[in-house]
Amino acid sequence: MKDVLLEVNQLSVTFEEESHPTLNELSFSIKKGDSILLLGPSGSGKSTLTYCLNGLYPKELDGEMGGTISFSGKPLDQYASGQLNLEVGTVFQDPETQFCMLTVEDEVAFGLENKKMAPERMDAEIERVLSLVGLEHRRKDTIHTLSGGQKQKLALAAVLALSPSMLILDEPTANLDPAASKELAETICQLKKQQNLTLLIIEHNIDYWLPIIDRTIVLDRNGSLFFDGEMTEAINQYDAELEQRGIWLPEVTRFAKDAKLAKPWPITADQLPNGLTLHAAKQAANHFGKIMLQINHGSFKSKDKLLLDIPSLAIHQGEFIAITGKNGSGKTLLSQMMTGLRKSSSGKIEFLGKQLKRWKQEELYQQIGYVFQNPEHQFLSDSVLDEIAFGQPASTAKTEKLIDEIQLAEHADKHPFLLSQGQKRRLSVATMLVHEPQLLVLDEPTFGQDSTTTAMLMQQVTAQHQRGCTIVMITHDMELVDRYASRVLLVNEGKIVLDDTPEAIWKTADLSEYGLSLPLKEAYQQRELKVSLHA
Amino acid sequence: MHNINPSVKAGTVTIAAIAVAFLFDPVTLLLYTGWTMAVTLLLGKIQIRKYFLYLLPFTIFALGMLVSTLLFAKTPAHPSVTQQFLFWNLPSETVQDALALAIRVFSYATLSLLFVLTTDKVAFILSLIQQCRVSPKLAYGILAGYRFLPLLTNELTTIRSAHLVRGARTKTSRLTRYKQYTIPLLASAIRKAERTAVAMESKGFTGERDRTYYRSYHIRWTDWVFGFVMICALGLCIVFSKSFQ
Repeated sequence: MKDVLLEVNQLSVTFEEESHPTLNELSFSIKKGDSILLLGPSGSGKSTLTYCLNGLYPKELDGEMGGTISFSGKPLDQYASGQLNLEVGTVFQDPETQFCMLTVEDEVAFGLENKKMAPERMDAEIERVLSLVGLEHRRKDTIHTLSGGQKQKLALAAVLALSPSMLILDEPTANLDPAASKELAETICQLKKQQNLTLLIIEHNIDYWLPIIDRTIVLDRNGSLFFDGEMTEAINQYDAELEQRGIWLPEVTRFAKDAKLAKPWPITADQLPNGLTLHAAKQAANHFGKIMLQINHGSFKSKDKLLLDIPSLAIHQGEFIAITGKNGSGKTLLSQMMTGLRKSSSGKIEFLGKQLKRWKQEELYQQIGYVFQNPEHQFLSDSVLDEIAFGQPASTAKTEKLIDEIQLAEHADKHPFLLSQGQKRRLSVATMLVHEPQLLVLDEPTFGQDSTTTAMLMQQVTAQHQRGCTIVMITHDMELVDRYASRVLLVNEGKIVLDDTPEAIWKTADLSEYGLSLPLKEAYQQRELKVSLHA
Repeated sequence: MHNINPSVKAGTVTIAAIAVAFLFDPVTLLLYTGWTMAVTLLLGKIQIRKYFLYLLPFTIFALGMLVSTLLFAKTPAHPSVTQQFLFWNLPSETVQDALALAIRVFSYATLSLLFVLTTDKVAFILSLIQQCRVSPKLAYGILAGYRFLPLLTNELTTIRSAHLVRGARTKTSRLTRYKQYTIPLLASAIRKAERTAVAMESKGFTGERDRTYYRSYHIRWTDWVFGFVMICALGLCIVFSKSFQ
């Protein structure tokens, strides 16, 4: 029998300005050495729970907190200030805002100083934790030179330096690309095997964590406990409920569900039976029209560094193009260069037969819509209604139709910044559709979104595509690429290294080189092929 | 020079700057400016080219000072001697004042550069905590905030293009546009600050003075010598220029 490390009893949190509690009589316990995955729809109070567990609430809380939390048998409020934080370490989701020092070693030392470790012992300790996460060679570097994935590893190292008995990972991969996410998860899985860490992992991407998870806790939309038990049980008994709450099922489970397999559904790929026949879920390919956008010898330089080099690229009317590749490979830059948001350093870019620089800006951006990664950047007005009506002649019928479509009619008077994450995303896309642009560019629109938001968003995009709008979407999600795209541009180190239909790319390219993985359907078919070859 | 305790260095520079404010003799100021430059370049191992590049804006400012004081100075009631300056005939008091003002600008510039070019920002802040008993809460807050600056500029660029796509440029006035930039920038800055604060606290930071330091800073006798020499040099400059006249 393992010892109970953390006990949460009837925990409720209500924020001052809210009428409903964010966490609602939540009870669960974590034993020493457990690895627990915590799932929940966005807005179900996952982050609030993190703050409660590492003692930031009720100290910093504007609102009320009820119930008790005890750690190692002692209620949290009996811990001295800062003491609990040394026992419960947390890695947060945003790699940019977790640090207060400038160099890697100083950041690790910061925690050790808080712990009042003797300075003579720090050197060895810094070396030790950096080598645990594989950053020992970056010890003297400044933090801003690290990649997103390395920053998260540093955050992990800084927390490990405190030698906590429990680790909370609050969506640590939410801002990372698939390759970096996978690497971080592997590092953590390995650490878990080496040391007997107790882990509470809050994530929306389940797949990475399956190898080390013993138990799954699911929160409901109103912040109460929905499920506490084995992952396979959750998936097989409550799949519809989970999906309805916007929780991503593991990829393989989604696949099995789509293939209408009998339960119990598998959760990892090696559990999939052989010999399935698969139905292509693909949208019928449109007929492509004339060339809409053409780049000739386009390049982008910054400080003598060639960041983007596109000898020639033509985009036709009605295409659905997915741009994919590692973080920092130049995807966003390419999309901004072709829409004139960044001036190319050299070369010619033509849109609808006229050079980009000859277009009047206001006319150009009636024809081109661009959805930015962070929806908040695009908001201009003080209410949802004004946001959609912005720059429009007073045709209220159209505005109202749009606002109905994105299901925000009841929030029409709210400030856009006060919407939920998913609602913000829908609104930011809708603002781009008012002018019915001919080209719609989206920069990782589904990144970090729950399954409900992603589904609605893809619906919005598909509707535009069917209207005849050309779509260019930057994404890491190969399932989306496989389902929707008619053409894939794979960008690596500022160059388009592959330009083909998704089907052709799955067959020919080694995607792992670019930090990407095959969509599951394809991976499965290739496995099948191997099996039949062996037989 | 780089190894002088940052707090002592800051203190010395401040005292010297205050003293310079009370000096009106161009020769003294010129001597001291030369001394500061020599100390910076020789002991600080700064590239001469880089140093003069930094001095350039101050030079322009100093020249502006010089010319405007020469042209617009109140003529003394009884100009003692007129002095030829370039091709003007001007009262010598005016020329003296103008030169003093211009050289004082240089004096300040060289003193600030002495500090800025030879001091690591992190070291300065850590030394402020350790020697000057500045609250760690404030000092680490400044360090964390310092990291945000480049992030905010990036964000402003993005917001600008996001608004451009929305057609904000043509349809709204400049003033509303700035308001539109401010709200998302502020919202994200506040959110970032809060997240950083939470991350710091969750690493056991309490803001109390009771902590150890990986990099500790002490005041050694060399630091005192530096301070003493810098102030003495100023005294010498005054004495020397007096005897010179």
